[in-house]
Amino acid sequence: MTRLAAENVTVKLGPRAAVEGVVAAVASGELVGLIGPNGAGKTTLLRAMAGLVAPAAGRIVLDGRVLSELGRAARARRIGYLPQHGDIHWALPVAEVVLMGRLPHLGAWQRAGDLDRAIAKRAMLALDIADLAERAATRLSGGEKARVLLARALAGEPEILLADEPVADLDPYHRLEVMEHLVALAAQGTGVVVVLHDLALAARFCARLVLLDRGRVAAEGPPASVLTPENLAAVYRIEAVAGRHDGADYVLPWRRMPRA
Amino acid sequence: MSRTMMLGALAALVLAGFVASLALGPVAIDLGAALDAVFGTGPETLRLIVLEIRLPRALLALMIGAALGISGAALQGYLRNPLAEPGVIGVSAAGALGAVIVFYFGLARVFPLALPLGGLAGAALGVWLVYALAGRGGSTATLILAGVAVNALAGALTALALSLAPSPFATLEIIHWMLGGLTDRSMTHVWLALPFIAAGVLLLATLGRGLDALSLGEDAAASLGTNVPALRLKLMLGTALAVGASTAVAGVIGFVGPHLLRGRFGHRPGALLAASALGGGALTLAADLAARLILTDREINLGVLTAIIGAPFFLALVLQSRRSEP
Repeated sequence: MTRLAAENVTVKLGPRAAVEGVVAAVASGELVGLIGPNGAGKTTLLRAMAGLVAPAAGRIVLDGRVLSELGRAARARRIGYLPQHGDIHWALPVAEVVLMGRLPHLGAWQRAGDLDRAIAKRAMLALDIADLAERAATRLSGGEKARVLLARALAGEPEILLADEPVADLDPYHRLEVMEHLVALAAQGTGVVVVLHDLALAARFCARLVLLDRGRVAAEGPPASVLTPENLAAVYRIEAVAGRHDGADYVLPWRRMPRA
Repeated sequence: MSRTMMLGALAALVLAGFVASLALGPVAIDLGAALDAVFGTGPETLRLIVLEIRLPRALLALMIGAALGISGAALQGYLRNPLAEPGVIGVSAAGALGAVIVFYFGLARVFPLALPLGGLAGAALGVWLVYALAGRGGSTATLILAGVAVNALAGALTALALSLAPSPFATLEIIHWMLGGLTDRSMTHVWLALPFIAAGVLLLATLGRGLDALSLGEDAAASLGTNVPALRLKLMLGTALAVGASTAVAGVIGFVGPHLLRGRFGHRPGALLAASALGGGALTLAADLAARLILTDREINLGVLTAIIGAPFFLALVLQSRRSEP
């Protein structure tokens, strides 16, 4: 059982606190949705939890150990991170991109071996991109690229996966597909935090939501308790249509609130 | 052909270029006699020509080509831009300025080593300035902008030195040196540049994995365990040592980089480092041979030759990358 927690974390970008006094956590087997309006601090919180930016106050704790005390390599092996709008800068074959997920598991001068290739292959099969193995990564559609980058993260076999808007550039079909993969990943024991703008997906797939507003946690809990009309009005300034379908709640943003 | 075999082929090319560089010139020497001379046997005149003139020249071409090649490959990997080369971040220009200052004050005639040392100091200062401007957490765009600024500053100061030059001789000296070349270099130059170039090349050679990870962007690379600020520091230090020492002994030689190798070795930055070092060595040896053989009555400056071949190629690359933009 692995647990990654932000304990009263404040992160400053310049003089401004982008995240202030946030308490949040994810544990093995959980799919947690991180939601909030633009500029609420979602990406900053995720980067702090990934160890990419140091908190100005508070601490990030992985299984009782402060993250910054863990070595870079150990952290990289245990926590996977998918940046927003993932870039692939060179025309590398897809198989090589996915294999990069194995970097944290290799010694300083060690090259990827058969086991690494097998694990990368398995990640590609799981995301249905095995037939793209030789394709240049710069010649992928949005849906293909999202799956390739997710496969890259899976190839690292992280205990915790932090994904920043992995469905932002995708059509509805591929959004559902990626979310289903994340659900399956959580079911297999990985702890997953996913940043989402799509409230319908958040309500439908996440067991728990953390709602950020101007750097602070505005609400936290099961989707039904977070996506209330009051919270949506106060934080997003929207009215939404809510209901139940197939045994799950849904939320559909409907109109903006008049300016106060 | 596998990657190892292609590296072997490049190494063979380097060896062929090296031997040809000993044998060919105004006086053609057959291969056997040239190799005899290297090992200290054979007629006195041949030994003089090979050991005093051609060997330092071949060694410098190899060292400088390898230094420029691996620096170019590492910079392209770091900046994630196939057009990058040492000139881009201002190291070459700053190194040139350091040497020009030495010419300007006539220090080279008082103290021969002042010239290479001036180049080294200039390059190191240029790198420090770029690093200070771009900052510890600076983005790729900031680094390129800082490079542009350092290039402009070094260029302006070099032009100032030229326009204020105390004598026509100094002007001529400066211009001749700025064109880049390996004419009249001795083993002293080799020994002076070798430690710096070797240290720089070795430092850059350790960066392969981090540069690979950077293909996915800085955050992804950091999440994969790469220490991005440390990588940036090693890159700048390695480039300053390798390119600074090269510029110091040979003037400005541009357009030596991994551009031609991408087609065969693929785009993975780590895989291009060794290939580009060998390729740069082979290219510079060949260009230096051409520089001394094309005209019978005088030599073309090596830097001019690489620019004449390289610039149109660079232009084609720019057009190509413009076309591939959406």
